[in-house]
Amino acid sequence: MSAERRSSTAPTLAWHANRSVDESPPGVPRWVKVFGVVAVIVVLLAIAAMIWVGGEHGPGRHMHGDHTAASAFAPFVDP
Amino acid sequence: MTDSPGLHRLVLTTHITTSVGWLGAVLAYLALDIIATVGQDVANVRAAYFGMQVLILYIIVPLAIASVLIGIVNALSSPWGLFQHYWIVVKVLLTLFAITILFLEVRSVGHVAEIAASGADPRELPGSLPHSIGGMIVLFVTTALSVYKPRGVTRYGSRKQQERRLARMHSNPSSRVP
Repeated sequence: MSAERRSSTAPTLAWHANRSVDESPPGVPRWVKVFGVVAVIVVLLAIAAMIWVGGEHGPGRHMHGDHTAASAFAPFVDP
Repeated sequence: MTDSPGLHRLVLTTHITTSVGWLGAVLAYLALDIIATVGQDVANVRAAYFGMQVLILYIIVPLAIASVLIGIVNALSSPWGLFQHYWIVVKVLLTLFAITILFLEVRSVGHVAEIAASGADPRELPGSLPHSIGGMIVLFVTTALSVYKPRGVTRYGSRKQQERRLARMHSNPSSRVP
């Protein structure tokens, strides 16, 4: 389907199509780099917090005895 | 890619509805999580864990799966594509991260709700506030990316754009720049 045909039937899609044609040349944009740096910092802080708090993290911390993962998906079924 | 603008709008509407619904459901979950974590009334805390389990199993997970699947269909059926723009790639990565944490959280909440319902003091159970708040932030960021659509084309996207330009020039020679 051509961009021209889209633009004649859907203004929103025409805007999308026109804008995509006018995009800047390749190269990682600054906002992506900033976003990546922030994401790495957040992940490192989360790992540091887990180490600082200590103990088990994730689903395993609630699993003791004979609890199984499958039971979480059938919570309202009588044993 | 679909040839029907009506069908594409239906897919887009469903994608927006499921995605924003997912964010709304996470906000409701967060409210219950706060009660479960800081509440002092045993009955309220137990009810909060039960509500969290119902919300995550029957609302959040179905909405998340629907949002991801319909989002992929929506991207592939539009001029944006799935890997042509950085904002869509970032959105896909964030959504996959969120859904991975969500599936891990389903197991945790199931077990905690089970323990809370068994008669034990539910106030001693750990809540899941970091995950709830994190999920809310990630979904808010993906929503903002969809609205602002920051500029930036991937190498693959640039190649596809050149192909489209060439195809237009071949189909309409008068559009060539002198």
